[in-house]
Amino acid sequence: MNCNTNYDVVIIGSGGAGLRAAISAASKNCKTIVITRGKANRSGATLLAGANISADIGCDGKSLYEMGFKDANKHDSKQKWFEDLILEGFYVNDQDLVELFVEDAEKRVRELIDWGMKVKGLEGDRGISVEGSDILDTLIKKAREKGVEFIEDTIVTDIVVENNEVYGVISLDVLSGEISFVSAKSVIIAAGGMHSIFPFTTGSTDLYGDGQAAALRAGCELIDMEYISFCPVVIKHPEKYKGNLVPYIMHTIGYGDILNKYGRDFISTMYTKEVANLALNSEWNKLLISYAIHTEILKGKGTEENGVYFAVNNFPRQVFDEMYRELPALKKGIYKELTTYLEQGNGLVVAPAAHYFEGGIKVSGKTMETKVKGLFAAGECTGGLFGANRVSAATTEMLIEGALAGEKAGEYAMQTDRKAYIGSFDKYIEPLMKPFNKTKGISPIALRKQLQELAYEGLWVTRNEEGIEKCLAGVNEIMQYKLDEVSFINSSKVYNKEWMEYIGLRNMCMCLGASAKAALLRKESRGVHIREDYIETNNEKWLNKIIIEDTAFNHRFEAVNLTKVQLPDSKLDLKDFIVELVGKLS
Amino acid sequence: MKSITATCYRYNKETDKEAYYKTYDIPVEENNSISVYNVLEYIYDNLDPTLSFFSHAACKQVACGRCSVKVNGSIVLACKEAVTAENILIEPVNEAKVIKDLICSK
Ligand SMILES: Cc1cc2nc3c(=O)[nH]c(=O)nc-3n(C[C@H](O)[C@H](O)[C@H](O)COP(=O)(O)OP(=O)(O)OC[C@H]3O[C@@H](n4cnc5c(N)ncnc54)[C@H](O)[C@@H]3O)c2cc1C
Repeated sequence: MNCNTNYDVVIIGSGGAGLRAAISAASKNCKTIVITRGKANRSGATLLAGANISADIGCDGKSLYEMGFKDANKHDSKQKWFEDLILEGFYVNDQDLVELFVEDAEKRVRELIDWGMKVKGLEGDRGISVEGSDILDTLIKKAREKGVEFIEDTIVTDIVVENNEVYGVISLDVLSGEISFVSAKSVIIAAGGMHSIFPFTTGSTDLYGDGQAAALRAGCELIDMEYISFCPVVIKHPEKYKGNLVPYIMHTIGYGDILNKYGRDFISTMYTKEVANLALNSEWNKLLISYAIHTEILKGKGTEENGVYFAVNNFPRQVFDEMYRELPALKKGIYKELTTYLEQGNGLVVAPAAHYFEGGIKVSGKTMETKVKGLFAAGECTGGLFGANRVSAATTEMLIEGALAGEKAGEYAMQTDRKAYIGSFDKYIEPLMKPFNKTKGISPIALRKQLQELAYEGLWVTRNEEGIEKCLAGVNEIMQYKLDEVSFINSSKVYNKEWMEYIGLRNMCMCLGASAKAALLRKESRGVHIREDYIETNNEKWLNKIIIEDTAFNHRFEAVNLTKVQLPDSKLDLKDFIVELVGKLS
Repeated sequence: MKSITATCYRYNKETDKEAYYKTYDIPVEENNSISVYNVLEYIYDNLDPTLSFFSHAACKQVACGRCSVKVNGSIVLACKEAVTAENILIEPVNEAKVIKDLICSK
């Protein structure tokens, strides 16, 4: 094993959260390194935000107006935005994080513009439109100027902790198969979502929940794990475009129809006029259309691929011209292939795909520190900010949390006087190497397929007791008996896909298990957690947070902290409660 | 159902004296359209888990630009390149830099 140089701050992941954290840490004169699974500015969900056509970064209207966006709503305020975020989150947001979000969004937008990011215009009432790749390019340029170092193509497998204090990370260079200990005074987890637990997602192939799982093993807690957002109109077939959400963008702007296998609309018939209007014409479309599509598929009215159709009517023909004028990117590259396919009268088979994880590592909203000293987290891998439903921009989350985590981790590194690590590495290395010592056993590929099937059956858009229980039992069985039995056909350490798969599996089990446990406990419907057996949002009983405390998925409930917003005590069908919430938005 | 035959370059420096080619048959439904990346995924998932190709941080949406391979002699992005012919030859981008199979050093 390699023991690398000592760093002040190690950051895991190079999406927007990791890169923004690196800039803050290096600004505190810390020797800072980013270790990332992908290419530093071409990996993670950040790259794909808005399908790289138009991602939004959120900010209140008044601040945008003051920055010179004259069409922004100058009557907006941070306070109004705060209140709306709580409504959108069904009242269960961590209000410290929401406070940070509305306060710092402006600073984060201003600096990105100062550093050269191109803004295409306003998006929605509280946001600007940019490209995901441009966010990353702007941040990495700044990080390099500040002297941040990078290690790419390397998977952090664990965080080294003793006596509840952080000492660094264990990492695997996938190209060489080499394992290293990278020592650090503080560590920031910014490894993104856990998309890979599902068979169908919008995410890239580097998002296994590695950060959440490593955090749990290190002694941190997870929060809000039952809340998983699905993007409703994502291509499932043809296979070549699987996971692409461009039809969702087209539909949100107003193009195209979502139809069942008979070619019929079902969204406006499933909902009342009021709710259908929210589904088709508001930012609540993610939740409401996902719910509608899953319900239609369960009724047997989906296509054979378990999806529905997205089609754009070719009459009148000018509709396509209008769409190309509005979204010129649709005339280029793979998007051109897709629109040609649509122009020919074909429907794309679409379905809800796992998209964003509201839950994650529990942090302090004041410092981004976890329960472990010197261990911080930022971005999608954290939980709590958006409560039960994210409507506002996750890009803003990664930026504000990254900036604060970097600052606090830097300060921590500068003042800590803890000694070098002298403990053993066995407990980190042994589990990683185990399958190499077995000649016969279970294939990690088969286990991954089984796990993803469990996630699909138990934690898809609408859930019920039986499905979730089965999912949790399946995960426990894999963790207790099957992981130990994994063996590889490939004995090489160099770019061994089975090995990477196995490392991912350990983490997927941890994340899926935590989510299933929380979903089973929450016997109501709230936000994106839709229980067909408990369809009411029950504010009398369930205005609380579920915390997963350890790797055995022990849990506790925590009350929602009361602040400026009055908490409700109603018990209403989820759909009716949504109407009530929307009615209160500013 | 039609079938595609993919011939893949293989090399593991720990066990192979020299590179060799291995052929795999991939079934494709008539109304489907698949990419070279899908072919490689299919081989790994169903036929041969020892095949190495870029997949540890792939966007699969023509955004990261990291899944380059040589297909029938031309360098392409595996996720962008549609498979239309019945036979394809898949090789690493730069044979001199091969680490394993289709993976090259930087
Ligand atoms: C297709 C798509 C479209 C989206 N569109 C929008 C949008 O329009 N607006 C919006 O606000 N939000 C959008 N989101 C959500 C938003 O993009 C993400 O929430 C946000 O970018 C997350 O940033 P992050 O830095 O926390 O994580 P990511 O950007 O996901 O980065 C995670 C990083 O960690 C690395 N990593 C993972 N595991 C390890 C490990 N074990 N060791 C080392 N490194 C590791 C990855 O390689 C990557 O570099 C979208 C998401 C997707 C998937």
